[in-house]
Amino acid sequence: MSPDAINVDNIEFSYGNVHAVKGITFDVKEKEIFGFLGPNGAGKSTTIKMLTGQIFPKKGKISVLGMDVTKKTGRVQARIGVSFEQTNLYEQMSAVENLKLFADLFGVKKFDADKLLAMVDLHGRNRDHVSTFSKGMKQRLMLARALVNQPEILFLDEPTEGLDPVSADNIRKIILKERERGAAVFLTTHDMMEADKLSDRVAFIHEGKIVALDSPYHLKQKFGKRLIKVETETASGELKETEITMDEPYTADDVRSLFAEEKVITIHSEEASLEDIFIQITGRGLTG
Amino acid sequence: MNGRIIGTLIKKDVVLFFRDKFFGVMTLLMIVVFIVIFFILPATIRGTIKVGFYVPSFSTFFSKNLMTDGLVIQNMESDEEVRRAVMEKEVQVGISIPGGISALLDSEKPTDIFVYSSSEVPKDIQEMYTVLMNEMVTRMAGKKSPVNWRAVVLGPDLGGSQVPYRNRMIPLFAFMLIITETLGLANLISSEWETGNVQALMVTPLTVIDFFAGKGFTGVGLAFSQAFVFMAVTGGLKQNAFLVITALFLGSILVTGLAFVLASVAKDMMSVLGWGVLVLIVLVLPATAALFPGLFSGWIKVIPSFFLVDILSRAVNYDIGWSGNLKNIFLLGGSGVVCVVFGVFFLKRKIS
Repeated sequence: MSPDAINVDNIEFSYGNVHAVKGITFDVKEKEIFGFLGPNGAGKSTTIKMLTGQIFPKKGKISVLGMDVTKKTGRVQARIGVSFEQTNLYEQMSAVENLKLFADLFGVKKFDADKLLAMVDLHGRNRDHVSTFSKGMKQRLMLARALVNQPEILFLDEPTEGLDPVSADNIRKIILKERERGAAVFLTTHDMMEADKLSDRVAFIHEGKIVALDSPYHLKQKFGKRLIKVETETASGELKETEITMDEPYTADDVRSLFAEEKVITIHSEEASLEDIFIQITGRGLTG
Repeated sequence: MNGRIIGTLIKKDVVLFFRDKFFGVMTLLMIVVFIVIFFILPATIRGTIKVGFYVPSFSTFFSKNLMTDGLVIQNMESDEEVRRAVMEKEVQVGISIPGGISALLDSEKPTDIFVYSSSEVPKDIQEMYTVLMNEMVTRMAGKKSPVNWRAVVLGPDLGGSQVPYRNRMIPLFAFMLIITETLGLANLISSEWETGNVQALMVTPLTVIDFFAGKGFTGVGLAFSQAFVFMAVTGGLKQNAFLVITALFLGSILVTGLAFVLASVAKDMMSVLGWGVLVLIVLVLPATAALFPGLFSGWIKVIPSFFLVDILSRAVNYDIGWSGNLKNIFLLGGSGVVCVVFGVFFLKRKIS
């Protein structure tokens, strides 16, 4: 079993009287993409801030790359990369200047900004001011900035939020490449499809607590219902949709009787989504 | 503190400062405009001198003989009134001739005649009036008289020559250049906060100390360099250069501290300008006081910028060196340290 990139032990954090994170425990393995899912205000951003040393937990311990993040903040930050939900680039500087600034802060020698910009499909705009970029371009540049020091852990906060499908897909490809390079990825997102596609494991956070943590496959196995959706045509010519729950003793009989008694137009299976599971566990959706 | 990181921050801040169309252009423009104004203003002084005159007898004789272009005579009722008028700057020169001057001169006993002047009147003007009065007394007595001419300077003796307006403007312009950086630096920091740039910086190896050191060096450097250039071009460094440079440096620290305070309360450029204008109004008053002495009373001395303006004014215009400015230097340095400590405290709270 690979060692932990991140180890979080029962951490808590409060903003005044607001208890944002209430004793959460989890770990992220090396080379793992870990999805951290929850609605707004659930404690995702507070957790990321604690993991990246921006704020310190009031209780509990965080170990990142084997170091206590509260004691060796600078050393931890030198080996991680963070891409924020809010676009926080220097708009009056060019793409190259933005990347070089952070490469200098990280002390990266022989830094090739053009190569990194080509990787995120921003070649040709290297010398343009960021203020002239579209949201998708800015998002890609933020990701490139998070990669300047070839981080061992990549923290991505809503990396595809508000992007068109092509841009979002490009970013997902880069995330997978980073995993291949050897980085662990801590990913927060509202996009359940994205989390499902990318994550090795996901944690659901709700009201400051982790309410479920497992691989998407196992969560679906454990909480989700598999269905067969059958569309039939009645004698009067009307279309009717019927749902049959799979994995039940009566499933085969129900399917057989449908085919025998009615004219089947379409049939397909359907798995529960992570969103369905989140709603099932917490009683509310992720986008609220 | 990490020198490499601080250097990177300074480079970035200077680039961003001059890419901000408002503050970047304004900074360069102000240096040019102030230098141009300085050279447009007359280098010589031409003004009216008011003379307070107390002579119980022969007043008409003196008044008639003193009538000249640019001179206004005001007859006074007593020696005390002459002194008061000079002290309160109603007149620049006061002459007090004892009663029965004619008899005193005839007796050939040594007689004291007082020529009072305010500290802003140049020595050559004081001497000119003493010579003039001596001439008239000799003419009145018809012979050389044993008069003891007592020249009394009322108020602090600033010595030196009368200062042309353009030279008086030097402290004001230098201070304006320095204080402008309060707004520029505060805007730079608050916009970095507003856009989340600070958050991005804080997840790199940069520490909070590096952050403040970078901002501090940038602020002091920008403020100091502009004022230094202005002083160098306008001849403000011809005398007491090291003292002037020290004052500019301490003044730059003061405005950098104020910029930190301003950035800690401001949310965006508009609020920087809003709060900044309030601060500017208060801080510019002492500079105006240097331009127009007597316009404000002693309360102006509690405003830290007074120390800077006063040092510049005394060093540049009256050739007063370290010994005459030591107290102001300490007060200016102390005010700067206090402002920086407060600024770092408030800004750190905001950033954390």
